[in-house]
Amino acid sequence: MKPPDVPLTALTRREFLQATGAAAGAIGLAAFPGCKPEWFGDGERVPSGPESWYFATCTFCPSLCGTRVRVVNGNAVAVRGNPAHPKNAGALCPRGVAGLQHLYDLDRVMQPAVRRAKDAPLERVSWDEALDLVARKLEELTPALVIDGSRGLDADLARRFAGAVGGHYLSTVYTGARYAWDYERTRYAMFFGHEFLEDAPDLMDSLRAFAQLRGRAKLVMVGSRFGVSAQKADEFVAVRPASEGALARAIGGRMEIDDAATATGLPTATIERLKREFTASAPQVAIGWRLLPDAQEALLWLNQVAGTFGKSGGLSVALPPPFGQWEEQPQPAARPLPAAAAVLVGALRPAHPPAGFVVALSPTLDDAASSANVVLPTTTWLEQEAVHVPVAAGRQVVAYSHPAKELRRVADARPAGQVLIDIAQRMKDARRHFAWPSYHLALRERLVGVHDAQRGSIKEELFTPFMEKLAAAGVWTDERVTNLATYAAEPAPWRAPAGEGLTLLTHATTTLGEGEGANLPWMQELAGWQHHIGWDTWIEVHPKHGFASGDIVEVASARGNVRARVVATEAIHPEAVAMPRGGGRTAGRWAKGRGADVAALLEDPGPTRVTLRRA
Amino acid sequence: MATADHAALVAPLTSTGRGQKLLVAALLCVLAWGAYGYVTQLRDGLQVTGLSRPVYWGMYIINLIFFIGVSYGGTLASAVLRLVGAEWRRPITRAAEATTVCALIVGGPQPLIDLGRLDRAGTILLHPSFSSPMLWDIVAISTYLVVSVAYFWLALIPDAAWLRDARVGGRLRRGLYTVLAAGFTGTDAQRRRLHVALGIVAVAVIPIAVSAHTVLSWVPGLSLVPMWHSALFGPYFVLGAVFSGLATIIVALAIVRRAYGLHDYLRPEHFAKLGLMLLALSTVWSYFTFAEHLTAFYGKIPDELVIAHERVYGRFAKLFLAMALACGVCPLLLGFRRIRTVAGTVAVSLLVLAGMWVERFLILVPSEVSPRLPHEAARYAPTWVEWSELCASLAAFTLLFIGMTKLFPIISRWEVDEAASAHPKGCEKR
Amino acid sequence: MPRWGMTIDLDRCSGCQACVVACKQENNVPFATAEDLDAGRGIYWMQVLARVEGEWPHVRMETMPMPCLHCDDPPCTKVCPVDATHKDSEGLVQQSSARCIGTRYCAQNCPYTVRFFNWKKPEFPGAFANYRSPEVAIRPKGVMEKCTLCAHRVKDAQDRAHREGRRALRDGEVTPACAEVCPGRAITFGDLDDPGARVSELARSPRAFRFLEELGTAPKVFHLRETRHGDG
Repeated sequence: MKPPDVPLTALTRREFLQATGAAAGAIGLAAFPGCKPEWFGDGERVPSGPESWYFATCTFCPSLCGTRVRVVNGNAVAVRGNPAHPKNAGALCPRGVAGLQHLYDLDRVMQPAVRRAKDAPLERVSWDEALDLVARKLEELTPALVIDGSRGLDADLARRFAGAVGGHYLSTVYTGARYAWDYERTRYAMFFGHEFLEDAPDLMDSLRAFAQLRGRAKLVMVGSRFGVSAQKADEFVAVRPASEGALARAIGGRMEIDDAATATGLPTATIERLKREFTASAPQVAIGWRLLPDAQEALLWLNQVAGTFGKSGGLSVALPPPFGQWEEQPQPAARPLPAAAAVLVGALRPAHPPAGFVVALSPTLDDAASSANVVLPTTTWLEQEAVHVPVAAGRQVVAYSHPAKELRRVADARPAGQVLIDIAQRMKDARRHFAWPSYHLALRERLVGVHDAQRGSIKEELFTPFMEKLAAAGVWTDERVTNLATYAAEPAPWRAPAGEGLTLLTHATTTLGEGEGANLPWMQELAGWQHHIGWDTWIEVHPKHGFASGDIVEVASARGNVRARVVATEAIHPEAVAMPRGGGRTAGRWAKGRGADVAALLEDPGPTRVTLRRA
Repeated sequence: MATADHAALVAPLTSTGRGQKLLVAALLCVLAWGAYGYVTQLRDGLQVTGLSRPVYWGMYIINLIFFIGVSYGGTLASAVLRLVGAEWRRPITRAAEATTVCALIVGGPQPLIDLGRLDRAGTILLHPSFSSPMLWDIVAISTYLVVSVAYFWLALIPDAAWLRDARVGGRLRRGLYTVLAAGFTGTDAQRRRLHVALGIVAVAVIPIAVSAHTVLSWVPGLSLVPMWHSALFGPYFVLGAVFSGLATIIVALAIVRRAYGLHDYLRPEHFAKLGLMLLALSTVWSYFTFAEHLTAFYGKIPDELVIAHERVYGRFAKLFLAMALACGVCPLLLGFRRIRTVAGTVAVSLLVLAGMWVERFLILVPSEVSPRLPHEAARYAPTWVEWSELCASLAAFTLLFIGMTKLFPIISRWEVDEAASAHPKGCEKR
Repeated sequence: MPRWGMTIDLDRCSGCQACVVACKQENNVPFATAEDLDAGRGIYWMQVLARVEGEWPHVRMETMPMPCLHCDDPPCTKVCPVDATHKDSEGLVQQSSARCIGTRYCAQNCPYTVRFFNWKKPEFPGAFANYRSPEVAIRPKGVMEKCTLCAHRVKDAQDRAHREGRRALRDGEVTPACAEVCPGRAITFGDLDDPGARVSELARSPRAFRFLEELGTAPKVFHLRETRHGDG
């Protein structure tokens, strides 16, 4: 007799088994008076119910992938990719899928909270009370510093807020040039020190590009660590740490090959071949990430020499979408002013914790929020009406999303942009820059511009049907590209970086990212999947240094020291060590104390040299 | 020389010393502790053990193999010796058969401790799948238990009749003896029939015992796991079982000899003979162990080589060495007459028992921690719950055995008497 | 009758773990705590195995996404003493958590170590209970569980097709959760008995291989070997 195909659906069978189990159970009960029947619980099925789907834009990283969220019985039960989205075409990275654990984070801020005195616990207050307090304090303690970890419209409003209060604005997320790589047509791609499959400014592009380019283009990884990117590249070029700039210069014709060979430790023949291949394989592209500034400079030059800018198969810069312009953008202070107050907008973990009166706008009680004077709960990306501008080659993209009304509220939270409007409207001077009664109207004003442009994938005479179509599709796209103007500066001659000791290479992981994933248990458990390590920070060390896998070492740089678990591996240059970013947070029940904050070691501009000591 | 009224044999049945009472109390405490550990496991699940993926089986299955092995000495030794007519067997058969019954009662249910869902154990009877060697195993071991009990009982009948007639014990106990005696009055016809029945069961019990442990060896042996998947496993398990079973008998005999003052019945010659048997079995065990590893090292099938290497040179090298010394080297000392004393054979037997437990561990665990596909470093260290279950199992075995000695004369009176009447000068050939 | 199978293209896998998380979410597999990981008790119906060989700089790394391979001759099913696991009529190796008694014999006999035991009661602490999927029952403690190749999605699609009066499913109509999110589109699912199906085409490719094929288990999940630019 065969058991049911789908577990637990055959009720009769279950009852039958329960009855038979009762005999054995009775023996158990008789033998052990403390034994309870619930110790033998059966499985559980979550009740089904009416389902709905809605779009949301994942803001865990600059890729800004389009997602579809499934709601059953008021609960979000799945996050999937939006197949119609030009960025991810239905795919997602692990962090996006784990958005559910962000939405239902056990450390969500449920309502505004205020710390009355230093070291006093946070105390729940009403929105009005909290907003009044913040507005009054910010007027007293002007100018305020705005540290912003948000993206999209929230980031625009945060910047505007900084201008309105006359403060300095600092973004903690990657806001570099919005290069779009037209990877579908590339024939040769060189990645310099760039773990393109683990850590990229645009991870989704990298993950998709590599698969699409397999067999069609040659992918070359230049670096000092043999990670999954090196394995998946067609060729791995092992160079001495922090010498990528020399190779880029040599290929770009700005450095003698012999000198580059000395600097990188490569045979001259290899450099000559790479130069030949790169030059001959148009359209080609050279991409770097987490490099020294001099190497980044050399790469721009290399791309320019090769003529990859603006070319099909090369790099381009995205044109901003035809957003409706807000009135009179007040400019934030250009230089950081001594600030007695700070507003943190979704800033997970600022590199330099601000002093004075700190207001944190955050969905969860993270590092920044847990030490703030006032915490204002904001929505996660899964619960917020949002407009985002993902960068895609050859296209302009505007993503619009709105949570389904069926989604049950998790916290008394508001979109960060709404909170900023609410604060500004309580302030005498700032009020005039935030004239919209609501975040929704600020957002609408932007989209009016897209409607008025009357081009792209959605064209409607009237705004309302335009919005309806946009909401149904999730994205508006148009074929427009702007090329980068010629990049003129030649890189300076290469100089070997100073310093002694092992060079520290750091990389984000697809799971923890820069720490966005640190309070998501799924991300913690998978962080070091290739080493079977989870919930911890490791350091990849060449075996010649005498450490064994599993040893705990103290890693010290000129800036600080952290502890990490050793992975002794041949897959790292003997002069380098590598560590993942995103660990060592100070708050969050799943993140706190898990691993080490590698950022605490990094020197600016680098390279960071470290020494290891058995702890 | 045993006295004809066998007062020493009846004494344990009617009186209990203080030491023994204390021992029983202590064993009951161990048993209670084991029950507490088991309740913990029922409540929290098997996470309280040291098991993991891929070490799915550990202590409990090791104990299963160990106790089924221990059960072997009794019935098999008794049956073989009876069939070949070894006269010196007479005083040892009852104790030997008792160890079998006790070990089976303790060993058989070990898989229930290992089961993830005790409440569903009944499923195995309702929806048995005979393609599973586990089911063959259940059949084989329960058959073995039934036959062993039958054998024990047949050999007990004349003594039960004697106890019935001597009116030993209270009403309940006398009733038990009456039932067990099955109307035996000692007529010649009854004696003839008893001998025929014993002969038949003694013949039957040998293949059944062999099959029980062979089938048990097939549970791992018929799997795809490297170093388990081996034709050697059947005979290797059987031999190992006889080996550890014999060691058990030696220890059990020494204990009852001392505790009940049976020096007249169990004389040093018995231990010397059993010691020589142990020596012989040890050499065969060494031969099997050598053959197993030689095949792995010479054949160099990568999956197997990894495991053999782990056992002999790797993480398990110390355990392996200890096992080899205890089971392969120490018993050789019994070749010396000076070591072949009661104390010497008992010491060696205890070492063999410990060594054989380690052998079961080394058969099971190294294969599990070395899966074929890349995997995180797997390890297995039993937790306090698992050690408690081992201690409780040993305590249960001892308690059962003590119970046996309190219910029945632990030396087969009628067999000893039979020999005495056949050889009036003494029941032993010197 | 379809014979469901899968191909996993190692050329397109970046080891990003999206499949692993999507699978955990879809099938209500609880996250593994640090203690679970330390004890080797994480549950991954889909996992990415890794192996590094060689010496710097001549290093080689393998990354292998490994669901249950749904063997055509599964060694796990025949050793179960209560028939709690069996190969269904469409070739999927299924596990009944209502029947399972927790001997873990099947897990011992799986050469791919892709069967998982519930060492404890699955936990979805606090608000995490909200995101549990209604599609798949949560398993109790003490029983085995494993990848079903998203059999519930197959069943849903078949019900839908039935309502629409179609007898068979179209190629690509069912996508398991792992395949759905994969950024590299490395995973293809379909009917191996349909010669025109994408999965059959890929399974016939010279790059296709099956893990531990020498054991005669005949997996229905094929992996496609990695190639390098210019390999021909």
